[in-house]
Amino acid sequence: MKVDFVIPRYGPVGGAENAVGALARRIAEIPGWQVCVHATCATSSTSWTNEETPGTEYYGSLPVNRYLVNSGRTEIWPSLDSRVQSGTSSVDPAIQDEFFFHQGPVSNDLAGAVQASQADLVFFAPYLFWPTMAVAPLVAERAVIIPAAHDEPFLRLSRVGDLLKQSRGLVYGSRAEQQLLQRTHPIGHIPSTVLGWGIEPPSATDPELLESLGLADQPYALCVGRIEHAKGSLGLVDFWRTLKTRSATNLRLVLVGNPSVEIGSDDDVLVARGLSDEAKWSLLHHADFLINPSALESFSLVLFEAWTAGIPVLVNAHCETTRTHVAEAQGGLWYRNYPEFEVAVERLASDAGARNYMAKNGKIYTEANYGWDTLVRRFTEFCEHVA
Amino acid sequence: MSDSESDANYFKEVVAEIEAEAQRRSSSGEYPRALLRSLDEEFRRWIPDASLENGVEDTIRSIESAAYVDPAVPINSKSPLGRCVKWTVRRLTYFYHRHVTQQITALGIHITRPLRLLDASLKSVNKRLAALEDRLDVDVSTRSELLSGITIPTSFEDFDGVLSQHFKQVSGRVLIGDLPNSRLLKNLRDGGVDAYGVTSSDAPTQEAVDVRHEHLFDHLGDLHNESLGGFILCGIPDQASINEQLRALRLLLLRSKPGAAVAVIVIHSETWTKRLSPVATDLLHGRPMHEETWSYLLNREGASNIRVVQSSDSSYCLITAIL
Repeated sequence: MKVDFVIPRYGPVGGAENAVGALARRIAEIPGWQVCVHATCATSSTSWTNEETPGTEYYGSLPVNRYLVNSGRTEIWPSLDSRVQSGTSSVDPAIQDEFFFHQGPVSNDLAGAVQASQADLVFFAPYLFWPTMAVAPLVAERAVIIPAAHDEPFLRLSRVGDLLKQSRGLVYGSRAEQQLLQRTHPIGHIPSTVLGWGIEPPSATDPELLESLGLADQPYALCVGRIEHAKGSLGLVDFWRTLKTRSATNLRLVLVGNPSVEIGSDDDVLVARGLSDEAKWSLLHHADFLINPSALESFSLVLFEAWTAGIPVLVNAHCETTRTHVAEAQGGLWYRNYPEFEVAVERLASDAGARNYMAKNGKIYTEANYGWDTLVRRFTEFCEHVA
Repeated sequence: MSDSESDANYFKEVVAEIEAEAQRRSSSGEYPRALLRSLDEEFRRWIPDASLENGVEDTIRSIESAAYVDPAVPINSKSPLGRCVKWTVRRLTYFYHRHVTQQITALGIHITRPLRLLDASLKSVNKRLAALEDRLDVDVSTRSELLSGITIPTSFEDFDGVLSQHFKQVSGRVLIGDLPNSRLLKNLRDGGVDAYGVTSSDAPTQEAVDVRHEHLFDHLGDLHNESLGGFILCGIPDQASINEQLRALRLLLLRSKPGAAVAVIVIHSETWTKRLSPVATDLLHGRPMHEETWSYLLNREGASNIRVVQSSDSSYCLITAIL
């Protein structure tokens, strides 16, 4: 079987891209399977400027072909973005095409290479960017889409519906994502599977990190991911600061990620920017628990990282995906509003028994459902089914 | 009680304790309303409407809270002079801004009124619908309780050959719902049929790919007409109410292309009756329908080549047809 993956960028950047890269590396190790990744030379999803060298680079058995970006995120994009977000159903297909073009990253070399590929199946992820929206239709009979979607205006665009309807198959991160897409577009009959994603804990951690961040003797709750409004980061900071004025907890909130909004560090909240993967895992191992405040998740890999690191999680109950994971795993708690948040944090902070119990459950759930052996088997069976 | 049951109970208790304590704090007035409102504003801003448990009510509340426009614009500034200038401008234009914002606020209030009426009307429809459902069939929880006590075989090996042959030439995908197990799906695929499954069971069907875990009606509701090459209806003919069986058939026929191959697998009423207790016999009356009834319904929809095949132990029958 020959399988290609197309992602806008390769490396430890972007949830979906990172997860697809990890899967591709595992599949490339299977005898008889030929796998390659097509990506651009960009790493930043806000500019898509060329930062990596074009050409082929090997990561273990996996060749990654990088192509130059001809056009990244343009100046016209913000106005198109506002237009699309303000009234999805009224945006005509020509404007939608224009939106995806200016959203980027446009790479003519990547498009040419994918069309020339002899792969049995070509997997595109995530749905929102030009390489998927513009290139997948060129190889529709072999194209399998990994949408990595959550409930957002772009998902309702007619072009997205067209893309999904004409694809050979679909791979979802969770049942909640599958049901969301099937409710949004008439694609329930198209071959699909709920795969989920696997995690790769690094072999090394960063022992100096806690000291350097002033967390050596400080208990803390951790939040990992892009720090922005839509991910619920600001709402979490509001909740946390209120909690600290009302509760005697000595926990600090540590936000790990790149902020797109300004949040100052103080005694209650610490913002840790630009940390390596090893540093992130060090923080996970020593945290009391992880908080994921986002209501917009298609899978939420970070929950599984937390469980693997041995800590429970606290999630936004309005996110069906994360709440379902937590309820099925019994690996943490959820909150629907501030009072529930306050009580849940107090419980997790003060009850080590509950914390250990939930962390253990989460780990068992991760290994049973998203261990690499299970994922690889599920993926290869699906490929054989749709090829 | 097993370890897993005791674990699940412990988890439920923790969740219930947290919800109860949060409710107690809220109702005891521990939180100033203004504080909760301001915290809610950012928290709810990024929650998809569809995931709100009380969508219409919450949407109305957010419109109401956003409808009030404060004409007193902030006058904070890095320099005292800037603050003074802003204060002066605000003072001089206050009468104008207040006039405009009052009209906008009034508009917001007027918008929420019809929404409230709509919400009340929806709630009334839901109430009447629930009452209607109760009149039409046994209460859902009673029904599932009765059905769970009945053992129904889910292996249809006798029909493998006939089904593979029947769906061999089909153009398009074949839906199997409510999928009893992965074996039926696998055997059809091995026979060259492009089939997928829909199951209302939450248990992961890890051994089978391309299976949707959702209710058949939800799945069919999201499909376009004429998107299926055929279907196998099973499970529902054994257990669902007559109205549900008829609805499932109607939806499946609508979603199937002209010329689609269709099949219904149904337990014999005699076999079914033997398994029922007197209580279930009384409360689950009218199901399953006889093979003659299915043949009649398919014939009425214009289906041709209607055939009936019996299982070797005569407990089940398969009805096949072409639309």
